[in-house]
Amino acid sequence: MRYILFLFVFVYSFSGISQVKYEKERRVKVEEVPSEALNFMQEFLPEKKVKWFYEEGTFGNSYETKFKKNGFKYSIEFDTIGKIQDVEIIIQIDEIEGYIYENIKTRLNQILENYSIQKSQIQYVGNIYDLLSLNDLKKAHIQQLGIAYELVVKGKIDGEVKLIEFNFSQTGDLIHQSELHLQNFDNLEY
Amino acid sequence: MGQTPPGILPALNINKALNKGYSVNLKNEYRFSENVDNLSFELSDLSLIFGKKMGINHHLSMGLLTRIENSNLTPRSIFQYTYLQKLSRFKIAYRLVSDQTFEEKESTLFRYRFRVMTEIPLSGQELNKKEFYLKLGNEYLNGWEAKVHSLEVRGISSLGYEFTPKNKVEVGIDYRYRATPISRSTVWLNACWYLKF
Repeated sequence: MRYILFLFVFVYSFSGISQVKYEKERRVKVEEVPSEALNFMQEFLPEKKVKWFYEEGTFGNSYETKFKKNGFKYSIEFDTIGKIQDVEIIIQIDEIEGYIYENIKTRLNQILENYSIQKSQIQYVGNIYDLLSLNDLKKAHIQQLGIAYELVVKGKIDGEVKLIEFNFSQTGDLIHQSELHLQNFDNLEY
Repeated sequence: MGQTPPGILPALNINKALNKGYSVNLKNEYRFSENVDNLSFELSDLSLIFGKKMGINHHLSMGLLTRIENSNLTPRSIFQYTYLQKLSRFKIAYRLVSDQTFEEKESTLFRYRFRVMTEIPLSGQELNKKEFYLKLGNEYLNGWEAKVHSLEVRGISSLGYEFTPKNKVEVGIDYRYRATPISRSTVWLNACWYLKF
Protein backbone atom coordinates (compact mmCIF):
# COMPACT_ATOMS: atom_id res chain seq x y z
CA MET A 1 0.00 0.00 0.00
CA ARG A 2 1.22 3.41 -0.92
CA TYR A 3 0.71 5.10 2.36
CA ILE A 4 3.08 2.67 4.00
CA LEU A 5 5.70 4.87 2.38
CA PHE A 6 4.80 7.56 4.83
CA LEU A 7 5.39 5.47 7.88
CA PHE A 8 8.25 6.75 9.88
CA VAL A 9 10.19 4.38 11.99
CA PHE A 10 9.92 5.25 15.65
CA VAL A 11 11.58 2.21 17.04
CA TYR A 12 15.00 3.65 17.81
CA SER A 13 16.12 2.17 21.01
CA PHE A 14 17.13 5.37 22.75
CA SER A 15 16.62 4.25 26.27
CA GLY A 16 17.08 6.65 29.13
CA ILE A 17 16.29 10.32 29.33
CA SER A 18 18.12 13.36 28.13
CA GLN A 19 20.77 15.27 30.01
CA VAL A 20 18.73 18.17 31.24
CA LYS A 21 21.24 19.17 33.90
CA TYR A 22 22.97 21.71 31.70
CA GLU A 23 21.63 24.91 30.30
CA LYS A 24 23.35 24.60 26.95
CA GLU A 25 25.12 21.76 25.21
CA ARG A 26 26.65 21.53 21.77
CA ARG A 27 28.51 18.92 19.82
CA VAL A 28 32.23 19.62 19.33
CA LYS A 29 34.87 18.15 17.07
CA VAL A 30 37.57 15.99 18.58
CA GLU A 31 40.16 18.64 17.63
CA GLU A 32 38.55 21.05 20.11
CA VAL A 33 38.81 18.65 23.05
CA PRO A 34 41.78 19.10 25.46
CA SER A 35 44.49 16.50 24.99
CA GLU A 36 44.32 15.32 28.61
CA ALA A 37 40.68 14.31 28.11
CA LEU A 38 41.53 12.56 24.83
CA ASN A 39 44.37 10.67 26.50
CA PHE A 40 42.03 9.45 29.23
CA MET A 41 39.53 8.23 26.69
CA GLN A 42 42.27 6.59 24.65
CA GLU A 43 43.02 4.43 27.68
CA PHE A 44 39.43 4.02 28.80
CA LEU A 45 38.02 3.06 25.45
CA PRO A 46 40.79 2.50 22.89
CA GLU A 47 38.57 0.51 20.54
CA LYS A 48 35.98 3.18 19.89
CA LYS A 49 35.59 6.76 18.68
CA VAL A 50 33.31 8.74 20.90
CA LYS A 51 31.14 11.85 20.51
CA TRP A 52 32.15 14.97 22.39
CA PHE A 53 29.98 17.75 23.77
CA TYR A 54 30.75 21.12 25.30
CA GLU A 55 28.39 22.12 28.04
CA GLU A 56 27.77 25.48 29.59
CA GLY A 57 25.97 25.12 32.87
CA THR A 58 25.11 26.80 36.10
CA PHE A 59 28.15 25.33 37.84
CA GLY A 60 30.65 25.97 35.06
CA ASN A 61 31.62 24.68 31.67
CA SER A 62 32.87 21.24 30.79
CA TYR A 63 33.61 18.72 28.09
CA GLU A 64 31.61 15.53 28.12
CA THR A 65 31.56 12.33 26.19
CA LYS A 66 28.72 9.81 26.10
CA PHE A 67 28.93 6.27 24.84
CA LYS A 68 27.81 2.71 25.38
CA LYS A 69 30.13 -0.01 26.60
CA ASN A 70 29.21 -3.57 27.49
CA GLY A 71 25.55 -2.59 27.54
CA PHE A 72 26.05 0.32 29.96
CA LYS A 73 25.54 3.97 29.08
CA TYR A 74 28.51 6.03 30.23
CA SER A 75 28.93 9.74 30.51
CA ILE A 76 32.38 11.08 31.39
CA GLU A 77 32.92 14.70 32.28
CA PHE A 78 36.11 16.75 32.08
CA ASP A 79 36.83 20.33 33.02
CA THR A 80 37.82 22.91 30.41
CA ILE A 81 41.51 21.93 30.54
CA GLY A 82 40.73 18.23 30.21
CA LYS A 83 41.00 17.08 33.82
CA ILE A 84 38.56 14.32 34.62
CA GLN A 85 35.66 15.27 36.90
CA ASP A 86 33.52 12.16 37.16
CA VAL A 87 32.25 9.03 35.47
CA GLU A 88 28.49 8.51 35.38
CA ILE A 89 26.66 5.37 34.42
CA ILE A 90 22.93 5.20 33.76
CA ILE A 91 21.25 2.57 35.90
CA GLN A 92 17.76 1.33 36.62
CA ILE A 93 16.47 2.67 39.92
CA ASP A 94 16.02 -0.83 41.33
CA GLU A 95 19.70 -1.56 40.77
CA ILE A 96 20.44 0.66 43.76
CA GLU A 97 21.09 -1.38 46.87
CA GLY A 98 17.98 -2.12 48.96
CA TYR A 99 18.33 0.12 52.02
CA ILE A 100 19.71 3.03 49.94
CA TYR A 101 16.82 2.72 47.53
CA GLU A 102 14.39 2.74 50.48
CA ASN A 103 15.98 5.92 51.84
CA ILE A 104 15.67 7.58 48.45
CA LYS A 105 12.03 6.52 48.04
CA THR A 106 11.14 7.75 51.51
CA ARG A 107 12.64 11.15 50.78
CA LEU A 108 10.94 11.43 47.39
CA ASN A 109 7.59 10.54 48.94
CA GLN A 110 8.08 13.31 51.50
CA ILE A 111 8.77 15.91 48.84
CA LEU A 112 6.48 14.86 45.98
CA GLU A 113 2.81 13.90 45.84
CA ASN A 114 3.15 11.69 42.82
CA TYR A 115 6.27 11.10 40.79
CA SER A 116 8.01 9.16 38.09
CA ILE A 117 11.75 8.73 37.86
CA GLN A 118 12.90 9.89 34.45
CA LYS A 119 16.57 9.07 34.78
CA SER A 120 18.82 7.53 37.40
CA GLN A 121 22.55 7.35 37.30
CA ILE A 122 25.42 6.51 39.56
CA GLN A 123 28.28 8.95 39.73
CA TYR A 124 31.85 7.97 40.54
CA VAL A 125 34.60 10.38 41.58
CA GLY A 126 38.19 9.62 42.44
CA ASN A 127 41.70 9.57 41.04
CA ILE A 128 42.42 8.83 37.40
CA TYR A 129 43.71 5.35 38.07
CA ASP A 130 40.57 4.23 39.91
CA LEU A 131 38.25 5.96 37.44
CA LEU A 132 40.01 4.20 34.57
CA SER A 133 39.18 0.88 36.19
CA LEU A 134 35.49 1.57 35.49
CA ASN A 135 36.01 0.55 31.88
CA ASP A 136 35.53 -2.99 33.16
CA LEU A 137 32.88 -2.89 35.86
CA LYS A 138 33.70 -6.43 37.02
CA LYS A 139 37.23 -5.35 37.93
CA ALA A 140 36.49 -1.74 38.90
CA HIS A 141 37.98 -0.33 42.10
CA ILE A 142 34.55 0.54 43.49
CA GLN A 143 35.78 0.61 47.11
CA GLN A 144 38.27 3.36 46.29
CA LEU A 145 35.75 5.57 44.53
CA GLY A 146 33.32 8.10 45.88
CA ILE A 147 29.72 7.33 44.91
CA ALA A 148 26.64 9.50 44.56
CA TYR A 149 23.29 9.04 42.86
CA GLU A 150 21.65 11.51 40.54
CA LEU A 151 17.96 11.24 39.77
CA VAL A 152 15.81 13.30 37.45
CA VAL A 153 12.27 13.04 38.72
CA LYS A 154 9.02 14.42 37.35
CA GLY A 155 6.48 14.92 40.08
CA LYS A 156 3.79 17.01 41.65
CA ILE A 157 4.54 19.64 44.25
CA ASP A 158 1.58 21.69 45.48
CA GLY A 159 -0.49 20.33 42.61
CA GLU A 160 1.98 21.46 39.97
CA VAL A 161 4.08 19.11 37.85
CA LYS A 162 7.78 19.89 38.06
CA LEU A 163 11.01 18.37 36.85
CA ILE A 164 13.55 18.10 39.63
CA GLU A 165 17.10 16.85 39.80
CA PHE A 166 18.02 15.16 43.07
CA ASN A 167 21.50 14.27 44.26
CA PHE A 168 21.74 11.57 46.89
CA SER A 169 24.76 10.41 48.85
CA GLN A 170 26.17 6.90 48.90
CA THR A 171 23.75 6.06 51.73
CA GLY A 172 20.72 7.63 50.09
CA ASP A 173 20.68 10.93 51.99
CA LEU A 174 19.54 13.94 50.01
CA ILE A 175 22.43 16.29 49.26
CA HIS A 176 20.90 18.69 46.81
CA GLN A 177 17.84 19.27 44.68
CA SER A 178 17.23 21.75 41.90
CA GLU A 179 14.31 22.41 39.65
CA LEU A 180 14.84 21.94 35.94
CA HIS A 181 12.90 23.52 33.16
CA LEU A 182 10.02 21.40 31.90
CA GLN A 183 10.24 20.76 28.20
CA ASN A 184 7.94 22.74 25.95
CA PHE A 185 5.88 20.33 23.83
CA ASP A 186 3.47 22.87 22.34
CA ASN A 187 4.82 22.50 18.82
CA LEU A 188 4.33 18.73 18.95
CA GLU A 189 0.92 18.86 20.52
CA TYR A 190 -0.90 21.52 18.48
CA MET B 1 -4.72 9.15 -8.36
CA GLY B 2 -5.69 12.82 -8.46
CA GLN B 3 -3.34 15.50 -7.42
CA THR B 4 -4.60 18.80 -6.16
CA PRO B 5 -2.46 21.91 -6.63
CA PRO B 6 0.16 22.57 -3.99
CA GLY B 7 -0.20 25.45 -1.61
CA ILE B 8 1.05 27.04 1.54
CA LEU B 9 -0.19 26.85 5.11
CA PRO B 10 1.06 29.77 7.17
CA ALA B 11 0.02 29.62 10.83
CA LEU B 12 0.41 31.38 14.12
CA ASN B 13 0.24 29.21 17.23
CA ILE B 14 0.01 30.91 20.61
CA ASN B 15 0.08 29.07 23.92
CA LYS B 16 -0.46 30.28 27.43
CA ALA B 17 0.12 28.26 30.57
CA LEU B 18 -2.48 28.91 33.26
CA ASN B 19 -2.55 27.89 36.91
CA LYS B 20 -2.87 24.31 38.16
CA GLY B 21 -1.85 22.63 34.92
CA TYR B 22 -4.39 24.36 32.72
CA SER B 23 -3.36 25.92 29.42
CA VAL B 24 -4.91 27.57 26.43
CA ASN B 25 -3.95 27.37 22.76
CA LEU B 26 -4.95 29.80 20.06
CA LYS B 27 -4.15 28.90 16.50
CA ASN B 28 -4.79 30.71 13.27
CA GLU B 29 -3.94 28.93 10.03
CA TYR B 30 -4.43 30.11 6.49
CA ARG B 31 -4.57 28.07 3.33
CA PHE B 32 -3.42 29.43 -0.01
CA SER B 33 -3.54 27.30 -3.14
CA GLU B 34 -1.36 27.70 -6.14
CA ASN B 35 -3.10 28.72 -9.34
CA VAL B 36 -1.51 29.23 -12.75
CA ASP B 37 0.74 32.05 -11.72
CA ASN B 38 -0.36 33.16 -8.29
CA LEU B 39 -1.54 32.01 -4.89
CA SER B 40 -5.19 32.37 -4.01
CA PHE B 41 -6.72 32.43 -0.56
CA GLU B 42 -8.75 29.32 0.09
CA LEU B 43 -9.71 29.28 3.75
CA SER B 44 -8.70 30.14 7.26
CA ASP B 45 -8.98 28.15 10.49
CA LEU B 46 -9.18 29.77 13.88
CA SER B 47 -9.15 27.53 16.94
CA LEU B 48 -9.22 27.95 20.69
CA ILE B 49 -8.36 24.92 22.76
CA PHE B 50 -8.18 24.52 26.53
CA GLY B 51 -5.84 21.90 27.96
CA LYS B 52 -5.24 20.26 31.32
CA LYS B 53 -2.28 18.19 32.44
CA MET B 54 -3.59 14.86 33.69
CA GLY B 55 -0.52 13.50 35.40
CA ILE B 56 3.09 13.50 34.49
CA ASN B 57 2.98 12.92 30.72
CA HIS B 58 -0.69 13.08 29.85
CA HIS B 59 -2.59 16.05 28.50
CA LEU B 60 -6.31 16.38 27.77
CA SER B 61 -7.64 19.21 25.64
CA MET B 62 -10.90 20.35 24.17
CA GLY B 63 -11.94 23.31 22.12
CA LEU B 64 -13.55 24.75 19.09
CA LEU B 65 -12.29 25.50 15.61
CA THR B 66 -14.01 27.78 13.12
CA ARG B 67 -13.29 27.42 9.44
CA ILE B 68 -13.84 30.53 7.36
CA GLU B 69 -14.34 29.68 3.72
CA ASN B 70 -16.20 31.68 1.06
CA SER B 71 -17.65 33.86 3.81
CA ASN B 72 -19.13 30.79 5.50
CA LEU B 73 -18.30 29.76 9.04
CA THR B 74 -18.07 26.06 9.78
CA PRO B 75 -17.63 25.05 13.42
CA ARG B 76 -15.66 22.01 14.54
CA SER B 77 -15.47 20.64 18.07
CA ILE B 78 -12.19 19.04 19.12
CA PHE B 79 -11.34 16.57 21.89
CA GLN B 80 -7.72 15.64 22.23
CA TYR B 81 -5.52 13.38 24.33
CA THR B 82 -1.74 13.62 24.10
CA TYR B 83 0.95 11.46 25.61
CA LEU B 84 4.25 13.29 25.80
CA GLN B 85 7.63 11.69 26.18
CA LYS B 86 11.16 13.03 26.44
CA LEU B 87 13.71 10.49 25.35
CA SER B 88 17.48 10.80 25.37
CA ARG B 89 17.77 12.34 21.91
CA PHE B 90 14.33 13.59 21.00
CA LYS B 91 10.88 14.51 22.18
CA ILE B 92 7.87 12.59 21.02
CA ALA B 93 4.13 13.22 21.27
CA TYR B 94 1.37 10.71 20.55
CA ARG B 95 -1.90 12.46 19.88
CA LEU B 96 -5.43 11.08 19.62
CA VAL B 97 -8.09 13.47 18.38
CA SER B 98 -11.81 13.16 17.90
CA ASP B 99 -13.37 16.05 16.01
CA GLN B 100 -16.82 16.78 14.69
CA THR B 101 -17.43 19.22 11.85
CA PHE B 102 -20.93 20.67 11.64
CA GLU B 103 -21.41 21.65 8.02
CA GLU B 104 -24.46 23.51 6.88
CA LYS B 105 -26.80 21.43 4.68
CA GLU B 106 -24.51 18.42 5.01
CA SER B 107 -24.16 15.57 7.43
CA THR B 108 -21.87 15.99 10.39
CA LEU B 109 -18.34 14.81 9.69
CA PHE B 110 -16.84 12.69 12.46
CA ARG B 111 -13.09 12.21 12.39
CA TYR B 112 -10.73 10.14 14.52
CA ARG B 113 -7.09 10.99 14.17
CA PHE B 114 -3.84 9.56 15.46
CA ARG B 115 -0.59 11.45 15.14
CA VAL B 116 2.98 10.78 16.17
CA MET B 117 5.30 13.78 16.12
CA THR B 118 8.96 14.03 17.05
CA GLU B 119 11.41 16.85 17.54
CA ILE B 120 15.05 15.99 16.93
CA PRO B 121 17.80 18.50 17.78
CA LEU B 122 20.35 19.00 15.02
CA SER B 123 23.11 20.14 17.37
CA GLY B 124 23.88 18.02 20.39
CA GLN B 125 21.45 15.84 22.26
CA GLU B 126 19.34 18.59 23.77
CA LEU B 127 17.61 21.43 21.94
CA ASN B 128 18.84 24.78 23.17
CA LYS B 129 17.97 28.28 22.14
CA LYS B 130 19.36 29.51 18.82
CA GLU B 131 19.57 25.96 17.47
CA PHE B 132 17.89 24.16 14.60
CA TYR B 133 15.83 21.01 14.91
CA LEU B 134 13.96 18.59 12.73
CA LYS B 135 10.30 17.85 13.24
CA LEU B 136 8.92 14.64 11.78
CA GLY B 137 5.38 13.41 12.04
CA ASN B 138 2.89 10.95 10.72
CA GLU B 139 -0.87 11.21 11.07
CA TYR B 140 -3.80 8.97 10.17
CA LEU B 141 -7.26 10.46 9.81
CA ASN B 142 -10.37 8.33 9.65
CA GLY B 143 -13.56 10.17 8.80
CA TRP B 144 -17.22 9.29 8.51
CA GLU B 145 -19.77 11.51 6.85
CA ALA B 146 -23.22 10.01 6.23
CA LYS B 147 -21.69 6.53 6.52
CA VAL B 148 -19.07 7.29 3.88
CA HIS B 149 -15.63 6.45 5.20
CA SER B 150 -12.52 8.41 4.32
CA LEU B 151 -8.92 7.74 5.16
CA GLU B 152 -6.14 10.23 4.89
CA VAL B 153 -2.47 9.82 5.76
CA ARG B 154 -0.20 12.76 6.38
CA GLY B 155 3.55 12.97 6.50
CA ILE B 156 5.03 16.08 8.07
CA SER B 157 8.65 17.08 7.85
CA SER B 158 9.78 20.50 9.04
CA LEU B 159 12.94 22.35 9.86
CA GLY B 160 12.60 24.37 13.03
CA TYR B 161 14.59 27.07 14.72
CA GLU B 162 14.35 27.80 18.43
CA PHE B 163 14.94 31.47 19.24
CA THR B 164 14.05 30.69 22.85
CA PRO B 165 12.11 27.74 24.32
CA LYS B 166 9.01 29.93 24.04
CA ASN B 167 9.59 31.18 20.54
CA LYS B 168 10.03 28.78 17.64
CA VAL B 169 9.59 28.93 13.90
CA GLU B 170 9.08 25.93 11.62
CA VAL B 171 9.01 25.58 7.85
CA GLY B 172 8.45 22.33 6.03
CA ILE B 173 6.41 20.00 3.91
CA ASP B 174 3.01 18.60 4.80
CA TYR B 175 2.19 15.77 2.41
CA ARG B 176 -1.40 14.53 2.50
CA TYR B 177 -2.57 11.40 0.79
CA ARG B 178 -6.25 10.59 0.78
CA ALA B 179 -6.74 6.91 0.18
CA THR B 180 -10.54 6.73 0.22
CA PRO B 181 -13.20 7.41 -1.00
CA ILE B 182 -11.34 9.08 -3.89
CA SER B 183 -7.58 8.95 -3.85
CA ARG B 184 -5.69 12.17 -4.15
CA SER B 185 -2.54 13.75 -2.86
CA THR B 186 -1.60 17.27 -1.93
CA VAL B 187 1.65 18.88 -0.97
CA TRP B 188 1.60 21.88 1.32
CA LEU B 189 4.41 24.12 2.34
CA ASN B 190 3.76 24.82 5.99
CA ALA B 191 5.19 27.62 8.06
CA CYS B 192 4.31 28.08 11.68
CA TRP B 193 5.37 30.47 14.39
CA TYR B 194 4.96 29.12 17.93
CA LEU B 195 4.82 31.51 20.82
CA LYS B 196 4.31 30.77 24.49
CA PHE B 197 3.45 33.26 27.18
